[in-house]
Amino acid sequence: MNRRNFLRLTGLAGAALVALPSLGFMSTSIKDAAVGIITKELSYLKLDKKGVEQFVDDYFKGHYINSSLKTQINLKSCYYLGVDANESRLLSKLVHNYLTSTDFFLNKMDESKTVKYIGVNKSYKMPCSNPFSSFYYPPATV
Amino acid sequence: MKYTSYDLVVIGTGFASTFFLYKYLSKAPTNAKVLVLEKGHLFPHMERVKEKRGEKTPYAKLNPDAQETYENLTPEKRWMFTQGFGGSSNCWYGCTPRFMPSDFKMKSLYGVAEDWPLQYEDLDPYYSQVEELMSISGPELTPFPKTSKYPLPPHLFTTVDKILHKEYGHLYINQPTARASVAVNGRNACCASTVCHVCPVNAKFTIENSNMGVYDDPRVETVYGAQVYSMDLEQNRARKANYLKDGKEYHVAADIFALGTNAIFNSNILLNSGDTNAFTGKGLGEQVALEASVYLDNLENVGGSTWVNANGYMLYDGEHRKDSAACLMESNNAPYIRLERGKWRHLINFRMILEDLPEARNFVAKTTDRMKPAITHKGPSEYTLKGVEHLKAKLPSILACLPVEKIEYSPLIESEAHILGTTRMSKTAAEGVIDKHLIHHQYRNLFVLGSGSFTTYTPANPTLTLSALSLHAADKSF
Repeated sequence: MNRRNFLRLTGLAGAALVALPSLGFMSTSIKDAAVGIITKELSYLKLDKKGVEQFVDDYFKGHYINSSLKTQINLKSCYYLGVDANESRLLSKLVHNYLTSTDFFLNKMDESKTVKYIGVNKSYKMPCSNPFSSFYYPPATV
Repeated sequence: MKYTSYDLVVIGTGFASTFFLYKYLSKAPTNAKVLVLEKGHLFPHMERVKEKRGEKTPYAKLNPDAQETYENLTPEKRWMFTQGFGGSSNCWYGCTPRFMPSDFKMKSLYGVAEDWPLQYEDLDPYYSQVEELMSISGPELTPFPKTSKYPLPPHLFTTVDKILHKEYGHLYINQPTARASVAVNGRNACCASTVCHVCPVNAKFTIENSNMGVYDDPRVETVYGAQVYSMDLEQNRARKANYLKDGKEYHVAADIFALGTNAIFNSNILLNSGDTNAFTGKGLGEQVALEASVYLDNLENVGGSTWVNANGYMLYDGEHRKDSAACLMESNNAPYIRLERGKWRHLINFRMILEDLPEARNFVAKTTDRMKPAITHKGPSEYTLKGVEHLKAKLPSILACLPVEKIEYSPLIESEAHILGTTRMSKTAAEGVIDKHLIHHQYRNLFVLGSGSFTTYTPANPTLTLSALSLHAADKSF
């Protein structure tokens, strides 16, 4: 995130801290916020809602967000303010990790198929599943 | 421990110890008595995979976390390694480029730091032997001279690698790697899972899967849980190794000792033993790296068959090295993406790895806890930081053959997971701790193995070279 975006986000987060409680901001869980961010960011894909929720549970296990009130507020602010994932490292990592934990790339980015969550430790559950490797793009096809 | 005295006592079971022992055993008599003291325990590969899958394994708590084993006085930089049988072969990523001939003569070619006391030609046959033992995959053409062929065929390039190879030829090659390109010697072929620290399919070379027979040799006795903390150094000889096991003190004598832990603990043991060489513990360092994310216009980066598919040498050798560090490029094939619909993989990430130099301000010191050395590391050299600026200035023109939209650089990465230079190699004791055969300048029956021996810190990954140094040392000494 560059300095301008950082200042913008910090400013928005500060303003949001004052203005958003009336919108239920404080009662929104980080899970709801994370699920909302992923769903909004990938609104053009058919997402398996339960899979998104499971991903968020798995992703936040042992994540520093659990002990960082600042990060929790940051995440919720981004959710309420509709910040684009590419504008925030926290968000881009979240969406990036979700998408690479699914079968979306294994299905060659076919947007007509429902995107299914496989697991955050996909490499051990399903070895050889790097969707950009020669196993999915054999030499004769690239 | 069966005896009170041995022909050889080796401390540690990582790459350095294992390759040293391999060569020693090939030359030693059938009645040789060898004791290996390993601080940790075997944590088998399949149990490591289970742990990664989230399953319970009783092996998980046998070895301490590396970060608990030393006092970090500059915690902004951590030192990455693995304790237990096989050492860091359990967590390495299997990158095995050779050093360039120029890496051994930094002083005479570039006026920087010191020359190594041995040269590329001295190591060449031992490089080949290690490549054979590790079943390295690699290309026909390399930027370093090579008389032997790699045992396994090279891994496949990605679409972007192909363009760069076409442009730069032998300066942009399939990475030589211990991640097997085809099934070999009990290992599977690498399938680009890109979590090589614990390979899900057991494709990378480790000491456990090496089939080198070292620890099954009847002449070798291995004691686990033996924490060596010092040696008795008397009359210019190492007399005994002192260790703790299950809370009890042990002392063992030998004709020859080989320290093969890592560069932190080798120097701690020497310092605890009263070694007064001015360079012992000094110059702790490693390479410095950053990520270059290259956004591509309508070019999909796909098709590689391993984690790092290629190495680029375009910023390595040259006149710039008189002022700024060499840089080795790694073409990364992890499943990273660009968060833009339809452009997901119009992106290539390069790890840009820079050499560094030994600095006196970066060092290992002993503490009141003889098992727990203290580390001070105040950052890379000016030479390396100039290298960062040099690579940023040059990379756009180097990548001109690609449809580059933009290049983004990460901050410097905390660690390359290498530990170098605390017992550096030199011609005399006035410039270093050990000679070209890894023998201590003062204690002539004491080998100090591993990457602590490095005189300078080339950008190339250290494991192949430190293993070749072990073979060379044992071959020339016995």
